[in-house]
Parts: sequence; C-alpha cells; structure tokens
Amino acid sequence: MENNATGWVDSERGLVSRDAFISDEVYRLEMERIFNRSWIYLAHETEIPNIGDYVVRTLGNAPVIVVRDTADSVKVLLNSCRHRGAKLCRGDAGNTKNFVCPFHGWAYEIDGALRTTGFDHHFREDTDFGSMGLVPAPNVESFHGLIFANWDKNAITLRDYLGDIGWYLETFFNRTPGGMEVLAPPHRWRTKANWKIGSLNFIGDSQHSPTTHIGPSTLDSARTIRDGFRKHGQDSFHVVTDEGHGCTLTYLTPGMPEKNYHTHPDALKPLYEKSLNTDQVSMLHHLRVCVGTIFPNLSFIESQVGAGEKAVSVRLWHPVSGTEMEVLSWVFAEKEADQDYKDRVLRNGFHNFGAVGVFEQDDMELWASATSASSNPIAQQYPYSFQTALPYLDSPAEDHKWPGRAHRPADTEVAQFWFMQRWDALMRTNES
Amino acid sequence: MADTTSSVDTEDYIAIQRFPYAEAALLDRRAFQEWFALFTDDIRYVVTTQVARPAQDPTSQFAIIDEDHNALKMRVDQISDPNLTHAENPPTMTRRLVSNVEAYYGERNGVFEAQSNILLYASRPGEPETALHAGERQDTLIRDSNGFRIDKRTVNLAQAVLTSGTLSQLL
Ligand code: FES
Ligand SMILES: [Fe+2]
Repeated sequence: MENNATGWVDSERGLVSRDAFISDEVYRLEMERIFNRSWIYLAHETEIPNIGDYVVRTLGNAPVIVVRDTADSVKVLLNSCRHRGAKLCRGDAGNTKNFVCPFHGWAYEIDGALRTTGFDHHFREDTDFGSMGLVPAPNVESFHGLIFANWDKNAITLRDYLGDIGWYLETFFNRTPGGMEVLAPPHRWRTKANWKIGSLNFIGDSQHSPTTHIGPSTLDSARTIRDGFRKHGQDSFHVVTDEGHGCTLTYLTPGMPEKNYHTHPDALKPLYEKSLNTDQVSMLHHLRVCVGTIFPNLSFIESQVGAGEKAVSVRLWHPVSGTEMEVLSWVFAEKEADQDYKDRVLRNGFHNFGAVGVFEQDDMELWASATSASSNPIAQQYPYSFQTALPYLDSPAEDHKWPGRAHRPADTEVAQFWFMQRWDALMRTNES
Repeated sequence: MADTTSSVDTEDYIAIQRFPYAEAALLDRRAFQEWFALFTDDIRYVVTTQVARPAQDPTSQFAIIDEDHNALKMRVDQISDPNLTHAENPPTMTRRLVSNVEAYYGERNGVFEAQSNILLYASRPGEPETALHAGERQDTLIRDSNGFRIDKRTVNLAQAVLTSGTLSQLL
C-alpha cells in the first residue's frame, strides 16, 4: 500500500479501486499526504464573533481549538496540553479568557502562549517557556469569513490554493458588504460511509439526483419554480479548477426571465451589485443551483429552498476512518437580510439539507450501503466505474467565459473523476 | 414551560398519559398518515440537539428540525410511500418507549402542556448496530371532540452528534 506507485485510479479506463473507499490503510495515508498538507475548512468567522469565543474542530485527525484571541485574530491550536496531553477544551464551543489545563493546571493565554505551569520554579533555569505554548497550526487564513488552516508550514497561500474556484465562492460568500452569517451551530452526524462519497456527490453527481432523491423531487412544493425553469430553458455544466476543486451549475439560459432572482429579498439585490462584478451578479441572477467541492472535504450548495428563499449551505465531510465520516452542516444567509428571512432560510435549509433533511436521509442510507457492500475482498476485485467521464474529459466547453474549465453536459462524471485524479496524484507523492 | 401552570387532575392525567402510548403505537406500526392527523394545522414540530458547552454556560439547544404543517407533511408523505424513500425502504424496525409523563393546565380551557420522555429504538435492515435516541418531549395539546391534537411539539434529543446517522424516523 505504502508503495502503491500505480495508484488507485485507472485514467485510461475510468475506474477507481474500491480500496480507496474502504481501507483504513488508505485513510491513514490520506491523513499524511492530503489532510496534513492541504487547506482544510474549520469554521466560519461568525461562529466566533467575540474575543475569547472558540469552537473545537478537527484538522486532519488532530483536535483543534479555533479561537478569536485578544488581538481579534483567529488562532488554531492543538487541543492537547504540552505537559501530558489532556484536552484544554472538552466541550465543542464556549468563551474563555484563557485555557487552563484541568489535569495539572498549566495555564495558557487565548493565543496559546504558556502563562505558567504553576511549577515554574521547579524547572531548570534555562527552560524556554516561550516555546511551550499550545501547538499552533502554522497557517490559518480566511476567505470571506471561511476559516481554513493547514498543518504544512510550506503551504501555498489559501488564495492560490483556491485559485479559480474562488470566483464562485466569492459570489456565494461575499455578495453583500456585510458578508454571510452562520445562522445556527452546525448539525453533526456520523455516517458509515467513506468521506470521499460526500465530496464526489457535491462536486458533480447529477446522475444520483433523479433516483436517490425521488422523494423530495416528487413532493417538493418548489416544483412549480423548477417547471418554470424547464419551460424557459436551462443550462447545466461542470466547472473544474486546479487542485481538484469543482462545481456543477444549473442556470437559466441568459436572456430568459430572471425568475429565480426574485427569491432573493428585494432589499438585498442592490447590495449584490455593490459587492460583485457584473459577471458574478449575472451568474447569481440566473442560477438555479450550484453544488461544489473544495478539495478535499468542503462542499457547498447554493439553491432554492422552499418557494421564497435561497440558502447557502456548507458541508464538511470529516473522515473518521476508511468507512466512517462525521458530517457538519451549516446554513448561511446575508448578514443584511431581515430576521424573518433568516429564520425561513434556516428552517427550509435544514428541512432539505440538515442532519435530518429530506435529501440527506436518502443520501446517507445509500452511501452507507455502498461502503458496507464494498468492504470485502470479493467486491474489492471490481473497481468503481467513473466511465461516463471518459468521452468528455478532453473536450471542455469553448464558450465558457467564467474562471475554470467547463464541461457539458452536467450528467457525466467528469468533475468526480477530476477530483479522483487529483486525489490519486497526491496519494502517490511521498515528499513532505 | 410548565412553570405558570398547575398539574392536571387524575382523570385528565390518565387521558393525557394514554395519548403518547397510542401515538407511539401508530408510529411503530408505520401508520404515519394517521399519526400526522393528530396534529393541528398550526403545528410547529421541532427537534433539537445540543452544543456541548462548559457546564457554567446555559444549555444550548438548537433545532435540527423546525417545521410547519406543510414541511412536516412532506416528510411524512416521503416515508409513507415506499416508492419515495430509501431511508425507510425496507422499513426501519422501531419501538418507542414513552414515560415520565407530566401534564399541566395550559393557557385556556381545553389546552394542556404535557411532558414526557421518549426512547426510540431503531434497527435498520443490513445494519449490524441498532440506534437509540433519547429525548425530552414537550407538547401543547388541544382537546376537541375527537380527543387530543398536538399543536406544538418540541423534542430535545440528548445528543450533540447524531452518532447513528441521520434520523428518518418520527419522534
Ligand atoms: S496535562 Fe495539562 S497540566 Fe498536565
Ligand atoms: Fe444527494
């Protein structure tokens, strides 16, 4: 496994070894070669608005505290005492003036610096207490409020890492001067499925929607709006960008009535024009739904929820093992929106995509079934098929004017295979 | 919630105590539409989990479901029709145990505030592990000629993370 020089992805035939989706050995390698070297999403700044606010999350497989320090900057600190490793925070969120270890009492400032061990006088005189603070993630950056961190000291900047997908993210997270706001703590649930199924699902698995989501798509009261789209014509395509990111957009053909735009509150529309460029506003105007994944495990969806709201929802597929993940799900609205609108976005957003969402429940059932049925040596001899990517991989759309490379049609596996190829390339590199 | 009101008399108590038993029986035999008929048109159906915060902080519950009649109807319709659900086809095998019922007179005649604990045992076909969900239920009940109807329900689950995956069962 360590020497899987040929990788897991067969680019010639559009196949991926099942091993990639079930093996704990692959999971350990993913931690080393992907999660401890990539920019990983942790939290949104509006979750920790005040000095001393913190949430506890996981960076790779290390527990971390994401805290707003006295200088009003965000620090990401390993949630493990430098003395003998106890957790500084044993809950999931709170506000504090400092971190005092409950085991033997070492006390740290909220930026992680060691204040006192309580037994400083018993240490040798040349002890460098300055180097004994909580272990900080060397790289922490925000993109329009989205906080990412990277364990790799030599990482490229977050901006560079996001590259062209940043244009789309910006349209969703920086479309008003106030920016977006998290409306509630994240829903969290465990699913016995490999984390990559989530990333792949959001980067571009249009093929699953009609069958997996037969329930909501038959019963949804927003159907009339969708029918309107059908009548007026819509365009649908994948966008893939460097580093393995991508998204799938479905939007109203330009020139057609801007029906969907009416689902944003009137008060917000002029704000979009203030914050976004003309192309981005036009994209938002015409958009029915955009789902995407920032490599490796952050996904987002901007879509209609109910008849009158559009929600931006963010999903983190946190790997627990080769066959299990923990999912975190947030819903966002524009800070400037009125409370009534925010309440509706929250309720309707979670009706669809929350821990108990009408979409989520069927996705999770089927992802778990795929993982469980693949976890045996017989099944492992038969790779997963991504074959509908192959005929389209080398023929990007030529009329795409926005960043990234577009591929039509959207009901192929181009974006998913793009993700897997990037994953495979990273898994085969061994330099650190 | 039951702070301003007083406990009901024995006769009302027995009636209110029976109500969640009958309700649990409907859900366990998957009579979801009959169950849904127990709600008023103004229903607000809320399920919460918690953020695990330090004990000094107030308990921090937040909704994972917050639905009106329309939204709840869609949820019920989805799992009632075998062609429209994967999460409940084949059906989850369930038992709901309801206990610790308390009941108080509500804000006007014929309105009651009821509390109970619910323990949902759920076994998914093909899943080696069974799920347990425990919660505190707070109901506003309205008595009409047919018995009680639920006008508001809040179920506070004693969990920060749904460790058994998403929850397609009703509570
Ligand atoms: S482990 Fe933290 S003070 Fe000892
Ligand atoms: Fe889905």
